[in-house]
Amino acid sequence: MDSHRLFSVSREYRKTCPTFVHLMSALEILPLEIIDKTIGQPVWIVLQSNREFTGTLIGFDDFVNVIVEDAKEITVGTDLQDVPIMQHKGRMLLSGNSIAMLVPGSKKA
Amino acid sequence: MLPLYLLTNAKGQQMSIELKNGEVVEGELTNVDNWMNVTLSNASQFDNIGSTVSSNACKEIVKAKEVYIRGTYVKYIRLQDEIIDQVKQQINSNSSSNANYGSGSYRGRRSGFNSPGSGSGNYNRRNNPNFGGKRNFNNNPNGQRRPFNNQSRPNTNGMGGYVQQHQQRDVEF
Amino acid sequence: MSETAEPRQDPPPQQRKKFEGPKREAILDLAKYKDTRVRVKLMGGRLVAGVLKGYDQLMNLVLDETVEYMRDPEDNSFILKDKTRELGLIVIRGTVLLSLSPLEGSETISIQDTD
Repeated sequence: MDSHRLFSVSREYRKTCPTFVHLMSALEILPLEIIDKTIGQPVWIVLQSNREFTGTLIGFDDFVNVIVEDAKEITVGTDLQDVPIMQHKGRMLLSGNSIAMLVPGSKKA
Repeated sequence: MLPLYLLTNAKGQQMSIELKNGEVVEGELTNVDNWMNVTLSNASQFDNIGSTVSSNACKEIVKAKEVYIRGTYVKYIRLQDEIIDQVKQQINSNSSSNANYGSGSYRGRRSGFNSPGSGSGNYNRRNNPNFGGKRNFNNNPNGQRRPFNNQSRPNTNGMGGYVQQHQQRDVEF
Repeated sequence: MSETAEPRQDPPPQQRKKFEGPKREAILDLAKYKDTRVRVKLMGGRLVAGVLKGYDQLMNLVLDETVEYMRDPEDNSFILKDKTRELGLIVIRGTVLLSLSPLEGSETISIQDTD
């Protein structure tokens, strides 16, 4: 996957989800609030290591342990392309310990 | 003289911090907190990106007005030589409790503790040789996250509130 | 300090409040960086830059127009400045934040290694 494509994904996401743009102008934007608004929608979770998960966000707790549905586990290869690790069926609990970043919206268009 | 106390009293001084990943940050200390999280102003970050491995390697210095650094990620901090003396002087000049310093009596320490500049006495107790032996990492549920807890925990005298604060915050995490 | 060798007495609770030392409140005012670009290093070696849109007490951050600087797959500490990817709007966990600096008013000096 090239970086241009990633960019367009993020833009596309914004079109489909104007609430986020809206939030931008709000006085207080709380990180956990953003995650909360993502519940039920696609999410892209980036771990501290070179590993990422995409799936549907089902829920999370204060430690940002996360439950995702039908998560796809990937790493990023040399040319920024996705290297699939595996496709998880159903819901999975992802420990908040290793999570570095959460990106609302799916990585794949 | 405890590290944190030295640091809090060395605000405004030029120092250089080496991080656990080997990077060095230089700047003027603006603030420190309980966890040794640090903010530096007019800081230069010497990124160790691109050292020798690649042929097109380039080193990079990023100069920023301010840098915030996590205390847990500090390997060591290099201060100017005079700072210890300066801080000691500061403490001595605004503390009348030095008579009690090292007197060995609990009461003595307590009165020292209650006076304004008493941090020195309090801190110093933690430097005692027994201290290392009394560490118990296993008993500390937060040990892995915050090494500092281990240090303050075995010595309960006067530090209790301080430690509790750490734990409270951990729960919020 | 001979007393430390003796069995230790518990201090009276009132004592605890009197402790004076380093700060326990936030030492970094993130409000002043709101809507400006910041550069954030994360545990594990990731480096991202984005417009700070929000934050909380635990230093969880909301960044927009985020760019991640990718690293050499063979040497994770080696950041390839020319290889970036766009992440857009992201949330960064405060627990993994290692360092933060504003990009505004910052300058970067690159030193080419002699090939």
